[in-house]
Amino acid sequence: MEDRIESGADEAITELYAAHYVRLVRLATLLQGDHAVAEEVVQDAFVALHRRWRRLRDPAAAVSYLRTSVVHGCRSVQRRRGVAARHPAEPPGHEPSAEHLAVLDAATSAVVDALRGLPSRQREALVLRYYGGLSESEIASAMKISNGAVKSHASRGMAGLRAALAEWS
Amino acid sequence: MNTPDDLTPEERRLHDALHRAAEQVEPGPDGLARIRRRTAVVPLWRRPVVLGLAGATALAVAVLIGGVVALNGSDDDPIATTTSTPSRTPAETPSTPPSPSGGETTPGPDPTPSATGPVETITVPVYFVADSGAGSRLAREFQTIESADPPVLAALRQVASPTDPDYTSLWQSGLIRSAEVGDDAITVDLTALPEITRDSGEPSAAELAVQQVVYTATAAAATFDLDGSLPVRITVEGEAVDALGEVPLTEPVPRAEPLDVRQVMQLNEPTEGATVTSPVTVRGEAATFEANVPWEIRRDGEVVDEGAATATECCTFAEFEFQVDLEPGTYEVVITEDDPSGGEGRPPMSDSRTFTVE
Repeated sequence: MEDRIESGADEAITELYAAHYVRLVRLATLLQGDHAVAEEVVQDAFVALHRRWRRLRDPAAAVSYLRTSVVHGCRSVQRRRGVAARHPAEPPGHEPSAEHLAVLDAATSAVVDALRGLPSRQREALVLRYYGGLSESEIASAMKISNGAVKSHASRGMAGLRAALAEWS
Repeated sequence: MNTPDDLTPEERRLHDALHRAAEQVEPGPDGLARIRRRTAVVPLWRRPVVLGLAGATALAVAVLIGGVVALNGSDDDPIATTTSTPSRTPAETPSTPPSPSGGETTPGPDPTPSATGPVETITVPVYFVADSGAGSRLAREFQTIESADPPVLAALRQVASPTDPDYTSLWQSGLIRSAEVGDDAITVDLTALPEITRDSGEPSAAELAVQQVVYTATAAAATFDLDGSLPVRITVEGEAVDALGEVPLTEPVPRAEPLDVRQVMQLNEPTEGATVTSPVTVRGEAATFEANVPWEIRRDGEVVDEGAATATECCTFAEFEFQVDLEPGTYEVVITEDDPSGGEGRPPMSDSRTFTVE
């Protein structure tokens, strides 16, 4: 019985990995800026999903669980950096991943930089919507906020990016 | 995924910029292998077997719920043990929970008339107040309790009842009525505000009392896969209250800066009074200069072993762990912060646990 559930979880993880890993890593990179950290966050999400498989055997619920976990994981990373940044003895180390995004053209970099300057909820709403292609309710469930709050974060975020977007073509 | 046609030109530009930026990110080739290593099934014969204990499953296994928040041992406490969903402790996940060694279950001190679910054995993070060596600070225990309450309420009901004799609480028992995780805040309803009977200096006793509840509620929420980043609204008998001492309560209260209110040396494992086997693994979190965590093992007050562990990062709360070989007996482990100022700054903080080696 247990073995069957375990192997069911293993198979599901393999399929979900093939279908979603790359996109989730990219999503996590946009959310918190660092590619290596993004991979860790996403791997953590898959490991957590594997543990919950017994409760969560529906593939749709699994994808939504992964997304929620990734958003939450990125928040935790950001929160830790916030703590570190306010503490003067912290050495620099969490600079945005210039090495990963160095090849971007200037206009795209300007958008990415402006995105990074937004409050995290606004950034989440925009990335989930315009990179993730999610609906408002899917975003609400990934961010664990109401639909109305998604709307207001997204519109404030959009306003914050306006200047950078104007340069982009 | 989809490229909706109804985007405004501005939205379209953001859409294209994000996709262009995202495509630069190529994940490494070994992601699946790394996940596999962490989800591999531990053969039955390697699992600890404990029979006849209600908490046996919780003792043998730990469940990671909402595990991503464990990344790099965030200030939340993302790991819970429950009896209902056994799994294996993740060897590589940094914020490893203390296994409830010794199977000690702290009975809930407050009766739970509002209990709704079946009684479950759960492990919850609870914040207390410790004399850190530099004034009172928040310190955390993981308590394994039997409760039918939802986890945030179950954790809050422990807030007056530390297990470690070095810890105290600014809360009297029986003050927590209910707790509800909403969209914009966690609402904690009280029968009355706690009586603040002492002065703790900086941070103040009222501030610490409020943060005891804020940290406990948010940590428990994060542990059980709810939103642990929410602020906490405190009400009395369902009504808004103005303040506790000088701390305003009219708005929901977020977590205070951890470096301001938590003690910077925190032991997680072994838990207080635990019975363990040698070699003993000691785990905790520390926010210290150069990530250095000096430790001592004492027996009857005499130092029998000492060393220094290194936390995974300096200056912010980060995990550390070390192992010691010990003969059977009762010991105390003490970690004490290095004092980089050579005595000119505040006194160094420390934390300790007493445990028994079988």
